[in-house]
Amino acid sequence: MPEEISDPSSVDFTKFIVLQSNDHPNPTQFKVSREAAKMSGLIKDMLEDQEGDAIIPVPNVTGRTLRFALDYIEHHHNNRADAIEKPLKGKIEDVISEWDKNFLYTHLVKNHDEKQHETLIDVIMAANFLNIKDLLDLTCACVASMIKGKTPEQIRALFNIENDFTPEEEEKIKEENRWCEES
Amino acid sequence: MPHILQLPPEVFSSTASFLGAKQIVQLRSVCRTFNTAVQGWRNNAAHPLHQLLSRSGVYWLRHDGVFYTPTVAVMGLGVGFRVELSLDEEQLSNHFSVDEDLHIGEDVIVNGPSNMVGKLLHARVHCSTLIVGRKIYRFGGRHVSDGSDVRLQSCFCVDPVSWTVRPLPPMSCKRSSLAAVSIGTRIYLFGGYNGTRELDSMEVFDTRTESWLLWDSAAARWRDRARYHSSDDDNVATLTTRTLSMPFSVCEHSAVAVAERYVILMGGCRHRGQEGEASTSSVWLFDTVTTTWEQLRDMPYDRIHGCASYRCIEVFDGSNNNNEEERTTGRHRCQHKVVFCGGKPLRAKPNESPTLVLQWSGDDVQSLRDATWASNDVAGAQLTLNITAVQYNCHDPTHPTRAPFRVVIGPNSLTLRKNPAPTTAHAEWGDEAEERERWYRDPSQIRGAVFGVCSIE
Repeated sequence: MPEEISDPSSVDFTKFIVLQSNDHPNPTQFKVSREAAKMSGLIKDMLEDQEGDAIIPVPNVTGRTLRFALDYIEHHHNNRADAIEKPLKGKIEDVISEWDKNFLYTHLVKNHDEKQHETLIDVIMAANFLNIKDLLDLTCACVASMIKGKTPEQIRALFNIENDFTPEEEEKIKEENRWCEES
Repeated sequence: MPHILQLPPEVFSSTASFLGAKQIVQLRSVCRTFNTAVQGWRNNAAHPLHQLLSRSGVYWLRHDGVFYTPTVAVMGLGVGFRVELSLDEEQLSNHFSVDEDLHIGEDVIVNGPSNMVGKLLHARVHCSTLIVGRKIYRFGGRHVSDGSDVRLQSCFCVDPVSWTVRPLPPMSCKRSSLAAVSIGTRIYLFGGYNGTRELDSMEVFDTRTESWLLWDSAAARWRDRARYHSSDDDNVATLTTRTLSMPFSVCEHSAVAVAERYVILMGGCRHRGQEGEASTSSVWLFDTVTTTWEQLRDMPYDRIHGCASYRCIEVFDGSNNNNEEERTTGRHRCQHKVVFCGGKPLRAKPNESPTLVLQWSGDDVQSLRDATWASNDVAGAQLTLNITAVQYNCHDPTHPTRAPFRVVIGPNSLTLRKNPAPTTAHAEWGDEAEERERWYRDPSQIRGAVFGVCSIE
């Protein structure tokens, strides 16, 4: 698990950096190895651009979410996950490792209950912001897997989306999509 | 509370990339945001999901089914069948399977395994193939296999977006070696061979309603069946025909639609299988607005089983075609070009089969009447029968594999172009007449018997 620290001055900055969440007034600071941190395209670019100062504040990402993202990169930085097939033939559980499965379905999708996916959305945003491609793929594929096989009605219910079409618009799209329902 | 609609668009499209085309298209029904996103992917040619959603690419109509490749060149790599982005071979063949209780008109189905229907559907030569919108339509043809040789009345539609093949209402009679063109949403079918003789009838299919139109002899026009029934027209007796007679009978001919109004019929065979059997060099013009026929100048050679294509380019009058100002302000006119390639006279077997070109400019029909055929100066032509033309309307210089005009025959394909490495659309089809076109054999090796090729852009 990512190591939370209270005193950055003790960190060996030749090997590690410190990432700081955006929680106010008490941001969380995590110690991460430079190697692992480079899984994030954003941090990799920053580290190449600037020497020395290696306490990097991460705006937009809370400590709780950052912990998950760092958990992923620490596990995978020298043990990269296989690319996930496109399109998914079945559910995502069938094609990912045990570790990834636990990672997704313990907290991100809480207790494997698809309705409780708020953390998953947070982690997707963080992965996108930090540009961690493998994590973004995993989490996007997880959403895709949740969407797969569901009707528009079920998708709306799952993600709490309001149907904002007029009946005419809905009819028009339904007509254009008629072929989807045939088989 | 984090919500899925807050995800940035690029994240939403990464998510969709793990879904199949059908599921993605169904996302449109969820809400406006999703609908806008999916429409955007489909309409943006640069988006990674565009090809999956629009199904642009090349469709190979083979005896064993319909196959898809993103470009003609992929076939040339020796990959017999490859689907980019979406489905593997097994999945695709599942998607293209047909209902076993398919209604296919009055065609004879020889007793056999249930996939006989599939064979009859796909294993057809001398069939007329057209693209309207994003759908491929196939009409009639001939099925030859052990112990059976039937001319076909059935038609079907290949829908590349939904990955389905489905039957259409049959034609009025069996037609093999017919010629057909599409104008707007209508498909005009002319002549053909029914197994005994060639035909002098034409009929019209409406792709919008997927039904055959009725010829209203009183009004001298084609009418929609449904609309006809709802009208109070008393003149019922004149409205019952589904076909219209042509002034001649013909089979093994070629046809192109010109300027969204006219049809040019070229060559063909008369008295097939009877005394006086002969190929012809006749050229006929049919006006779909006035539904009148007239004869144009003959081609220099007789031709059966050739392949014709039509293209119109805008030419700017003025000395310097590269001058941007002249392009926008100067007069421009349409230059029309019909390329007739392949085919042969019935009796003779020439070593070379000259490519025939009919060119005219201006939009009035008189200039078409005055046009004469040029025949001799396209090098590299070969004797080719039953070929299919693949024409790209949007020639893209960054995709050299998208040669603007290419024909496919048996295991080969040939490209008509002016130099080996085309750079711009203008170099291909512009009015730089001094540069000669010739046929180039593509290095591709196409596997299996190809009965037709369609490209959807």
